[in-house]
Parts: sequence; structure tokens; C-alpha cells
Amino acid sequence: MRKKLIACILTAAMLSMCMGCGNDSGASQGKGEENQAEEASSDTQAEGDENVNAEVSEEAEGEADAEASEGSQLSGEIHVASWNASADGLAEIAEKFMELHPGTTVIVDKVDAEYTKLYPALASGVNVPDVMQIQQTDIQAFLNNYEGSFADVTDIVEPEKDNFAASAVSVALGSDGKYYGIPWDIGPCAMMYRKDVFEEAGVDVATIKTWDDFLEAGKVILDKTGKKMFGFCYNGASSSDAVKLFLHQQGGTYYDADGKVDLTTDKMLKGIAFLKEMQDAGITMDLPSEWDDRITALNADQLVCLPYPVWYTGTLMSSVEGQSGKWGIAPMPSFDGEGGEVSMGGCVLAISANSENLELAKAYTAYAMMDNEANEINFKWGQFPSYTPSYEADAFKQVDEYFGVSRGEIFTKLVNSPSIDFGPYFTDVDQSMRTAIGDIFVNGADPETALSEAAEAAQRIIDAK
Amino acid sequence: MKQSKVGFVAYAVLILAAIVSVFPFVWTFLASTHTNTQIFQLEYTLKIGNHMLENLRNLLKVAPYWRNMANSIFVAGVYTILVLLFDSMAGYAFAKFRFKGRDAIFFLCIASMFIPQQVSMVPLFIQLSAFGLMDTPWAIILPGLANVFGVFLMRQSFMGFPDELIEAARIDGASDFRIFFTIVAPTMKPAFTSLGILSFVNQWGNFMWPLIAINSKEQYTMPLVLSLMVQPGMIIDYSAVMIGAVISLVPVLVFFLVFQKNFIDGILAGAVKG
Repeated sequence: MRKKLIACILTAAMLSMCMGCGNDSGASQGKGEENQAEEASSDTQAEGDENVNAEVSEEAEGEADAEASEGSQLSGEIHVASWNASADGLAEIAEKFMELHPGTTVIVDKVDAEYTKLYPALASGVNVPDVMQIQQTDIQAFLNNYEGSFADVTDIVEPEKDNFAASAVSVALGSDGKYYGIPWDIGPCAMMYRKDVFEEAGVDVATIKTWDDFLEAGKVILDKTGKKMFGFCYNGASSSDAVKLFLHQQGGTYYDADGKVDLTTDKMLKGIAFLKEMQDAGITMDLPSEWDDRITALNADQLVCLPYPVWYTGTLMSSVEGQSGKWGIAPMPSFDGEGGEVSMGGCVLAISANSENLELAKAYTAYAMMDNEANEINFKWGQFPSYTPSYEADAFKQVDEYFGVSRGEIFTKLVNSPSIDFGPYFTDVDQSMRTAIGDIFVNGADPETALSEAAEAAQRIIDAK
Repeated sequence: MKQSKVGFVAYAVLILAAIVSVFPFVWTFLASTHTNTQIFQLEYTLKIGNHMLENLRNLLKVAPYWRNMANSIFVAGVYTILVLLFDSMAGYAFAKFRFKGRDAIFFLCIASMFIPQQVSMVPLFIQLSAFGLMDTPWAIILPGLANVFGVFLMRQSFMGFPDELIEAARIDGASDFRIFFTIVAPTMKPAFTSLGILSFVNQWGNFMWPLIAINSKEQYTMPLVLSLMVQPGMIIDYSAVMIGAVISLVPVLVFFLVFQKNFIDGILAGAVKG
């Protein structure tokens, strides 16, 4: 009998473990509202130190600067969640910060860019990192799904907002008019091109002003050299990226004026029609697994032009080493021939409303985003800062051997891209977009039909939420 | 004559299948000996390059790789031992003990296999945070120990064990634990070996939960350290990742080869006894 009892207990113990996994997460939202009130009273001490910006301090009330000079009262420990090389940059900045503020500890934890680590923490409200890297496209979704989880950082952003690239600031503005993220990096685009191939084909890059010029040049290059002008993913995980380039350049979004999903706007159709025109002319190539295939195509000398963001220059230098000296950088073409500035990619740093060391988290984030020295480190690690006063720093003037010019000097002049409203359901809409794009570029579906179906599908998903 | 024709076709298919399955591994190995740029130049990659050591040095610069390797071996090893212990005992109970509601409980267990992993993430996260085990190897080891599939596999194997032997042992005064460990378990080598190999390999490649549970670089396991080197939008050092992947294959391969021999021994031993 006793043995049976033991067996039963053991079994029950195992069962309870099995069942433990079955508990559904009812607590996915609404945690942390009680903390909202607190942060309003928190003191402004945005700028950590020698970050002198006299011209904009008119809005920064006196208290901020008064306290900033003696940062020594900061103490405690914070965790920062960030990914990739940007995390390495933040870690280097953290070391500098800790030197300036003895007694503080800033730990940078590497996470994945899909937020797999952040979701459970935010849903449960347990072990939430004090500072979180979030993509520009996703911050509104986070604010919507985890209401009350993020600290109001208006006191840091508002006085400085004209100093940030406009497109980087607007994404972090909550529906209540408060800022919930400090702008970090942006992805200003330029047209990188193979100087040697353009020369061989007799194409003068200075004559490429509009996308039509781009198309004509592509035809000549294809004719003379057999190489492709543009590569994108026709059907797959990143198939909406090329469309977004053209859409966002025109300042277009996925929504109509009432906030309903609208994927058949003139701007959208114009972008798609142009991509289609390039495809029909044979000057594009399909990159199904876009990131890796693009590197392969570049190394195989098949792809000779990249209307692409600044962060790709790092990949060129490291993964296409052999073409050093062959690449030039020119301004982006546009549909009407001027103001072709566009930004692809970029992040903000958001702060947890439940942080035990809110002061420290804010001070560190402000330092990392707005100090010249910190931004030099950001730039070194491939994060192109959106804080324009830092462009005066030496790092942005250095000439890069690979391009023969200073990347910093070129791209710092290309930061006035249109502000884009990504909305709280960007990922859902983008998912529908990808299906439609695949249909259009692989199966030859009619763009307008495919896109309006995609818009309906996306709207259904959103309405169901 | 006809026989050999069939044999030829079968071999042709098998050889083709072997090439298809082995090629990615060969490619990974070859890629680990080339520089980052060479990997993308197709014609070079089918030869062995001479950058292996350099790639290894680059890898060790960005990650405490050996430490991570040790973590993986510890996690997968301890996990496998505990899974074998718990699952076999549970399986034995379900197979050989008669108690009220046994089949209902077993059915519930099996039903829990249908619960997707994602659903349990948040509760598990809260639970292990409350235990203070986050960012330790135990956060990876503990959650999967009562592995329903393992319990099921073990139960099925134990069902075939003759009741008479158990009864004989019981008459001789052996306790249930003694019966289990000295009489039943040793004859179940094949089942233990299959579950052991499965558990080890699964835990070695376990990614999702460790990604959530582990924060510090020093605690990373193999899949974490490698995957966090290949995130979209970053400058990827492919050759360092490749050499890391190649080395990470070695322990699983050794584990598999060692126990695969046991696996076959086990089957043969059973056959002779009859």
C-alpha cells in the first residue's frame, strides 16, 4: 500500500508539472498601470553631462541643467535589452557612462530582434529590462499591447525634439501626446553604385535624378554588361521592403486618413507600378532569401546598384571586401527628381515604467542617445544616430577607405526623410502586404485587386483584436 | 538478375538521398575554412580553404565559446539523465501499477502534448522568475523533465515486460524501487537509449525557451550564441558562425555514436534471451 502511495505521489508530481505548462496566459495585458502616476513626478535630469545645446534649451526648464552638472547622485543598477552590434555599442557607451557616474551599474543584455525575450517579460511584468531597444515600426504596437508598461520620457525628448531627425521623433509619440521612446538611429538611404561598371556602360551617375532615369540607366547597363540594377525579394519574408522604399519616400503609409488600412493609395500603386516596370524591363533580380542572396549577387558581380540605407555600407565593407574602391555613393533618385530622402529601419530606446532605477535609466538613455562621444560610438558600431548636433563630431568626417569618401559626411545630409506613421498594427498589415507582393511579382496578379484583398484581410485581423 | 536491378535502383535512390542530406554539413565544414567574402563566391567554396584557425580566433573574440559549449554539455547531459529517471519511473507506474483513474490521468498527460509550447511561455516565465532560477542552467533543465512523450514511450516499452517476473521478485521480498532498478530497468536498455538520444539531441538544439530564460553571455548555450551572431540587419561574420556550428556538432555526434552502439547491443541482448 505504502509503495502505491509513493507511486501515486510521484505520478501526481509529474502530472502537476505537465499541467503547469498548460496554464494559459490570461495576464497578457494591462500590467503596470498603477505605476503610471509615479513617473509624472520624476525629476528631469535628461542630459547626463557636457552635451551643450544652448540653442534649444529655451524649453528645457532650469531644473534640468542645474541637476545635470552633478550626476554623482545617480546610483543603482539597470539592465538594457538590445541586439546585435547595436548592443555592443551600447555596452561600450555604458562603460563610459559608468566612469562618469561612479556607483552606477549598466548591464547590456543581448536579445533577439524579434522580441522573443521581451514579450513574456512585458506580458507578465516580471524581470522587465529597464531599457529596451524597439524598432521604429513596432513601438506603437508595444504601446498599444502593453499599455502602461513604458515610462513617459517627454521631459527628455520634448526640449530636444528639433535636434532629432523629424522622422525618428514622430514614431515615439503616444496617442496621449506624450513621448514613450527616445529616438536612436535612422537609416538614411543613398544610391550606392559600382563606379567601374557604370563607367564601362557609359552611364553618368549625375544624370540619374528620377526613377525613370534610373530605369533607363538600368537598361543601358543590362545591355552593355548584362548586370542588374536592382535586387529585391519577389516573394518571401522581406518582399514588402522594396515597396516600402518607394512608398515611404513619397511619405505614404499603409492607412487612409481615417486610420483604416488602405493599400491602394496612389503612392502605393505608383511604387508598385515602377517596380513592375523595372521587372518587365529585366533590370531587376529576385533575392528570395534577401539578406544572404544580396551578398552572393554582389560578390558574383551580378548586382551593381544599391538604393539602400546607410547601415548596409558596413555589410559591403565586411562581406564584399574584394570590391573596395569600386563603390561610389550618390543621392537617391525620386519620382519627381527632387527630395528623394527616405529612411529605412531605425530604433528607439524605451524605458520600463516599472524600473526601480528610473532616474538612472533615463540618464543613461539620454546620454547614449544625445552625447557626442556616445554617438561616435553608435556610429562606429553601425547605428546612424538621429541626433543631428552630434554630426559635428569627428567620427562623421572620417574618410572611409572602402568608398574613398566620408560616409558620415554624405549621409548626415540625407536625414530629412518624411515622417511615417507605422500605426499599432504594422506587423499585421505588413504580413498581408507580403502575400500580395508575392502574388503580383511572381504570379502576375493585378496589383490593385491583390492589394485591396490584402487590405481587407489586414483590416479583418485588426478588427478582431 | 531481376534482384540486382532492383538493388541498383534502390542504391541509386539511397545514394542521391545521402548526398542531399550530407551536402549541407559538408558545405558548412568547407565554409568554416573560408573568409567571409569567399563564402559568397560560389566557385571557391567547394575546396577546403586555409582560414579555419583565423575564423576560430574571430569566433573566440566575440563569444566565450568554450564556456558556452560546457554549458550546453552540462544542460543537455543533466537533462537527459533526469528525463530518463523520471520518465521511466512514470512510464513504469502507468504500465504496471493498477490504481484508480490511471487511464484517465494517462489520457490527460497525452492530451497535454497538444498544448503548443508558446502558450506555456509566460506562466513558465513567471514561475521560474519567482523561483529565482532565471539566467541559470536550471531554468532550461527543469521545465521539460516530465516529458510526456518520454513517459509515453517508456510506458509502451514497460507494457511488454512480463508481470510474472515482477510478481516473482515481489514474492522474494523486493521493494518496488528494487524491482524497478535491478530487474525491470536493465532489460529496457533499447528504450532508455532511444529516449536518451532523443532528449540529448532535442536539448542540444533547444532554442526558444533558452532564448527567453538566459540573459548573460556566460550562460548561453550553443544555439543561443550562434543565432545571436546571425540576426537580420547586422554585419554578420559568417565564417565565424560556420566554424562555431561545425564544432557544436562534435559533442552530439560523439554522444550519438557512443550510444548508438549500445542501442544495437541492447536489441541483440534481448533477442538472445528470448
